[in-house]
Amino acid sequence: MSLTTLREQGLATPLAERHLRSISWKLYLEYLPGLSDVGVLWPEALHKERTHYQRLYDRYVTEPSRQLNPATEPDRDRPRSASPDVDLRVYNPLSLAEDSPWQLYFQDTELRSTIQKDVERTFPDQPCFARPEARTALTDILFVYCKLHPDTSYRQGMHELLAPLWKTVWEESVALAEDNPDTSTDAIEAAVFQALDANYVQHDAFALFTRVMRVARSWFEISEVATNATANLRTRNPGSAGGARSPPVSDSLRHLKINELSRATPILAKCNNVFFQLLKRVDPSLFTHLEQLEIEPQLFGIRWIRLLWGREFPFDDLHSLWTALFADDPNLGAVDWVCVAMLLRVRRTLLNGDYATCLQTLMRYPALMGPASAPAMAAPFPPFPHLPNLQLTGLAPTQFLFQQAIYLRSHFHAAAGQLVAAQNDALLGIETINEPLPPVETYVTSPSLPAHPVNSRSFPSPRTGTGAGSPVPVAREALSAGSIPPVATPTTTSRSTATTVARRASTSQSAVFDSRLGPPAAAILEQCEAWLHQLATAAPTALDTSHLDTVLPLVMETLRYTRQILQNDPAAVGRGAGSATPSQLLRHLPEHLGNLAASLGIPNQVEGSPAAAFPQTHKPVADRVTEAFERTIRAPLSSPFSTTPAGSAMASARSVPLAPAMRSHLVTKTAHKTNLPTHSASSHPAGQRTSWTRPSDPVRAKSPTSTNAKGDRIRDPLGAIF
Amino acid sequence: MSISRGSGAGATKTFNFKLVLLGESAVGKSSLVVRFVKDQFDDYRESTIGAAFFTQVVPVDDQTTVKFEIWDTAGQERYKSLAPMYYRNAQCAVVVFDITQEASFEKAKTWVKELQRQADPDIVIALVGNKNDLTSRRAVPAEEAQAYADEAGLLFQETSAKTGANVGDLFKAIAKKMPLDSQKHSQKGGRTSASGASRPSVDLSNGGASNAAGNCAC
Repeated sequence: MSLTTLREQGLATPLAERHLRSISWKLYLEYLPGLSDVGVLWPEALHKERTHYQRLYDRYVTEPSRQLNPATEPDRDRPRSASPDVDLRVYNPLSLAEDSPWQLYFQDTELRSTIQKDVERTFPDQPCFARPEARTALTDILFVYCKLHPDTSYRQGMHELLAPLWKTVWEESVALAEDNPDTSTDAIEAAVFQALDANYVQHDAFALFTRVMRVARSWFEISEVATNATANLRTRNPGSAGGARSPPVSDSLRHLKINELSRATPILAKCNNVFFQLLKRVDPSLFTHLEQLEIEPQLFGIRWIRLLWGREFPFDDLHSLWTALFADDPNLGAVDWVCVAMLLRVRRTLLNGDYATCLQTLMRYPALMGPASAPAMAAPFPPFPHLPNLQLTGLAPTQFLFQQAIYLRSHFHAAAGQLVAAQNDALLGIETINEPLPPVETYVTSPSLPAHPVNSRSFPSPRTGTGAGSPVPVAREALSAGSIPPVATPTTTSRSTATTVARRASTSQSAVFDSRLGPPAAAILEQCEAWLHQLATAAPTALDTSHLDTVLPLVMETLRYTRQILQNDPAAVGRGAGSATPSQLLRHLPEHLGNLAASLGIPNQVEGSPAAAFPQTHKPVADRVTEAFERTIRAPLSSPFSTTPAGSAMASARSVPLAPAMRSHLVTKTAHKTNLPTHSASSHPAGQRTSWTRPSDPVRAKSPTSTNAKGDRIRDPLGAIF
Repeated sequence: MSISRGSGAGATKTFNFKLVLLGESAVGKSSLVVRFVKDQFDDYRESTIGAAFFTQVVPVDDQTTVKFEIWDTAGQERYKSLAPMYYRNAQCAVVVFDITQEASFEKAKTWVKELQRQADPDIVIALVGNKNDLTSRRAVPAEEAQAYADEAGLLFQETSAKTGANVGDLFKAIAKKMPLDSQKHSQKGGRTSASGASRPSVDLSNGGASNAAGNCAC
């Protein structure tokens, strides 16, 4: 077995089949060097690390206590302490000299007592931490670490990063027979036993802790700049009488200071990344909701990240999560994504919650369900597109959470967020998918756009009804069907591949549009995103240019129509999509295309033109994207599509008007789709889509009406396309 | 601060206040809150990392209820620079020390000074000497703490989170000290801030008109 395989197993191996965790962790965190030549390399590595800790322990724990009592150790080779000429001005408990061992002793005592205060209350529900030897071991390890890193020293929370590491090593340790340590003739077996040697629990726990802290250390740091920044939030007026307060600094200055604080303090920067970079893109609605409630990410994020969720999950689940985290990356690269997945997991509660509810949910995270433990889950469960055969039944809830996290990492866009949200709904037994739209303004990065309470608050309560005519089963089916790439094996003809993609697109399209109650412009953009998602999740081998030939025009055409609708009825934009202008709406497309590029393994450095990121090897892809991009996006926005030269050129170049073609294509596919519940075709025949409106929602009730290019009022703008 | 008004006659008003707990590590801040909110106590309580958040309601009289949004902060000195994040726009603060630890009393004084210098000018501060079940180990005389509190204009109470002594009284005393002049303070609550403390200005929770979709922020 290779280390890679072992890492893969760490991500998703059912509980029962797991290896010795302490050994896995030592491998994942690169304490043990790998799985080759175990009999030789492991003993070397173990010896090196253990000797290292022993030396540190002697220097910081054993020696200082000796130095305090020089007379009792006359034989030690310690010139100053052993010498009869001890300088009593230095060597006495009242000495203020910095090099007095007594000064050091007092400092150390204070440090130890600070550490002990926390160690004594480490995981009170885990009996093993109440044992005196456990407390001594944890205190010693933290003490040595702090002496080694005086700048960071001890910060509350480190003890809870250490504790699970220590416990795992301790639990799996083996007391080797001292008189006969080499009973095993097999070198590998001997090395494994050596790795589990009960005499070195403390040493090994220190080694693992040090490795975790290489990354985690900065999360405990509060920089000096930051301290000053906060201190200056109000500058004291020197002229005022004692205690008199100076006026507060202006709001803008305050914000500046707070930004400074965030930048200079890694943990705050990390929390901000989770929230303002990742969540905002993956789940714009949830982001907007929390932002409007002014729930700042550091309020809950500091503890989540510093303790790596030690307070959020039960101990066993925590172990599984850490195993996955370490297996994924010794530098813990998935931390931010786990936080995003955790936010998505409770999104229903958050979206329906007020300030206090949201904070309580986030700061006392509810028990986590996994696909195996969710009682209410109704099949089919939306699978991960990249892992359609992932065995869900044996996964710990946190392992499944981790799968969601790394799925979001590799598919960094809102459509992936929707899939995860749908999975989470399924776990709750909620059958709705494709809930109403993310507010469109969140597609646009412009900070000047005002918040739009109608959009962010308009999530319907979970629907569970599945009566005849309900779009829900269709939607579920469509979601599962639409999210299982690869869309074709490489041997499939490109034509059928393209058809498959288009059919999938049409499938999810019917689901989206039937159940969606939101503003049409946003819905169309959403659909584009779904198509792009289809592309993005397809296996690279299956993605040849013929895909792009088929799908990209669909996307572009849709976008083009979106723009047309928006231009003909700008009021629709105002109603449905905040105050975003068409150009703002469309400005987001490069980002989607950038995602596409990223999913093809092409570095995403999209700036202006997405094609810039495509290397030469993907020239055909790049050309197609560039062409479509240029024609669609760069075309003047001031005039309606039907009269723009670029638009005309595009239509004439294809000789068949794309929209009607696309429409008939989709209609055909809808009629032929045999793998979907028939009610979809019968109750929602193409062209007579269900109403966009809900009577209870007066704001939305107006939005579906739009105007087509000729100025006729049309009931359903999508009817103009399909 | 926020105010809830019932729709019917004789309905009670609910006032929301943000309360922050400050004080040295291991003086019992979290235990105090847990006693207040859940009426529970554990000999060993996990140290607070970052902060914890609770809410609890205190009836003041027949017509008035105070709802505290409680921020329980981490005590370690090294995280002091993050404290303003929590006490920003707090309307009340509970500064806790351990009556068996002289140093924690000194630390409490510096917190009081910082609050008086940097927090909301109208903040109500209560000084609390916790662990008063450990009288045999007392290191801070009650008179001394009382004298300091009087001088600095603070509420003062000695409590025991372990026995529950005076914990309810403490929060009730704070609630009564809060400005319950809705007219004046509902306006004040309307200002925006990055901290989230201004929310929710008014919520209509009492008359059953609780709006799941969100609070009206007047």
